[in-house]
Amino acid sequence: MIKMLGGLGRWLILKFKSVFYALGYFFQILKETLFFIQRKQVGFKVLIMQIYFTGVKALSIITFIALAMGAIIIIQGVTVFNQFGQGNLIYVILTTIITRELGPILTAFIIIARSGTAIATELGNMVVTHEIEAYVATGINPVSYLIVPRFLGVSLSLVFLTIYFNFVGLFGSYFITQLIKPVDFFTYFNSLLAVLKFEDILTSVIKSFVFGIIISTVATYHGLKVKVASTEVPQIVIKAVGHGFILCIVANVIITLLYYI
Amino acid sequence: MKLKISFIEQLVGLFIILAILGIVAIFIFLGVNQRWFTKSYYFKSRFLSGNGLEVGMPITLKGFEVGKLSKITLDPLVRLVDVDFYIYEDFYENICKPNSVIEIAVSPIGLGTSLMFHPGHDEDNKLPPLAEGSFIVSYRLGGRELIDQGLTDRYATDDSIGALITNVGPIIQEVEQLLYSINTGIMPEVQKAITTGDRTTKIGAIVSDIQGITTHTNNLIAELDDEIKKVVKDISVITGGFAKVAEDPKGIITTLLDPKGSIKTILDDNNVLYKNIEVSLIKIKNIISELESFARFITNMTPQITGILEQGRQALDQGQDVLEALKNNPLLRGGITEKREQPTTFQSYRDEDF
Repeated sequence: MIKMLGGLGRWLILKFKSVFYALGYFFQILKETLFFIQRKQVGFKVLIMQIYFTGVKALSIITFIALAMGAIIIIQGVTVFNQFGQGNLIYVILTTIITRELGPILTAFIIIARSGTAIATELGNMVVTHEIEAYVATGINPVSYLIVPRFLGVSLSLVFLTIYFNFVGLFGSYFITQLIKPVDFFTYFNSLLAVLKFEDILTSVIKSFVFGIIISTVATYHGLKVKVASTEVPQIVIKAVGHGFILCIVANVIITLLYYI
Repeated sequence: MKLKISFIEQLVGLFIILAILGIVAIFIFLGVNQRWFTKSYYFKSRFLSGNGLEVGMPITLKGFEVGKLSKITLDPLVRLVDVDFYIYEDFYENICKPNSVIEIAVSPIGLGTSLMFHPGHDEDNKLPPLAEGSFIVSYRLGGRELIDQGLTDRYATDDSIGALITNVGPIIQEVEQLLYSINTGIMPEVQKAITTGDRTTKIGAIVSDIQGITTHTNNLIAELDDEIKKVVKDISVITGGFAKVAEDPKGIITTLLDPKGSIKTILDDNNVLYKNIEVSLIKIKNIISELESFARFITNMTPQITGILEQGRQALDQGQDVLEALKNNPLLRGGITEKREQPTTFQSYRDEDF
């Protein structure tokens, strides 16, 4: 019994330690990010590459999913709401779901699956091949050179991708609407703008930025946690994905609650 | 495909610029559509209830949005709801006239709430607009009187639901006033009349009369009570009798309803009985028709028969006179040959000797 309690206590202490370690790591990234902007370092090219891989290359899949989501919402909404004579509610539902909820979270999930895993794998392999040690040995701060560009790149890419997602989801789905229930473009556009609020867009941007921070921090944190063996890499990647999903959902709930408070 | 870093930089730049341009465009369109860049004129008003009101709710005139509700607060001292709202610059000059009224119409069937603006009457559009921050009365707190006096232009809604929403408010208000007047004016007098029996007022007299009528009715009912009980008892006995007859397994009803009984057997004969009855009825009908003809004939012949009988009677009288004259005449006395009577051969069986 005493042994069990002791084991539980040790487990809790370890958990607390790891949480504080992760928080310390996060603040280290924030500090280095400020320096990164000040110094205009060589890592700027890494940042560009990160935005290219995370943002530009994910644009096609984001566009496709946004278009599909917008179309599904319109098809379902038109079918259901017209039965109650409340067809105009479709615009409210469309802006609420696409802009405030699905836009940021779906984009985040896609980025976790694409870039989160890639970052964790890349950093894990760098640890295994002692590249990180080599950076440290030559006086280069790995957080400054490797982590911060990825942190900034993922966070900014997620914001831009969410903007694209919203744009395509809201306005691109107009063409899908034409197939089901032809609506005058200006009527559709004005109805959408009448219900779209500044707060909706702001919430969407804030959410996507927070998700970007979470995804990049979690992916880099787990990538650097690899110790010696390449077999650790896939395990670490799975952990990065799982933690990324959970933290993004929790953050989404908190931000949504804050929006309504 | 491996891309040059400069080309990747261009792609990333385009990606970022397009996203920024997109969001800027959305903000511009939103601003134009939601009038972020136009001046709004703020006013105050007061409502009896804040039910259905919410910040950002549109204020409409003839179905067009002319402003929005910006603030709602409850004044705990007077227990009324204070609201702040604004009217868009485009409409301010022409609709914010003195004696304007704002009206909240709550749907009684849950179809939402609408806030309507009724501009003050200004036929030639010469009156200056209200100063910003002015108080505009609500319909139920003074606005109705302005509309009744023709100082405010209140536009009726075209759709039936809208008209319903608009009209239900005043009806509810009138009902409330009626209930209020009943509660404050009539009910105390009724209470007084009931408790003290005061007949000085008309209501008191009516209440007293009603009390008298009620007492009298109660007495009548009490008197009739025994009789009613007797009648009910008799009905109960009769009903019981019927029930017994109905329940008797050998009773008439059971026999009649028995599918193997004689009635069923008689009736189930391929309509032979029915046809016979029908034929008999037709014959009876013919006989009755003949009787009717005969009766009519007799009726027609009655004067003639009466005449014959009268003539016969007169003939008998004359014959009697002749016989009497012959009897009294001495010349003819004994002159008539005596006749021998021939007995009748007709006899009934009863005349025979046994």
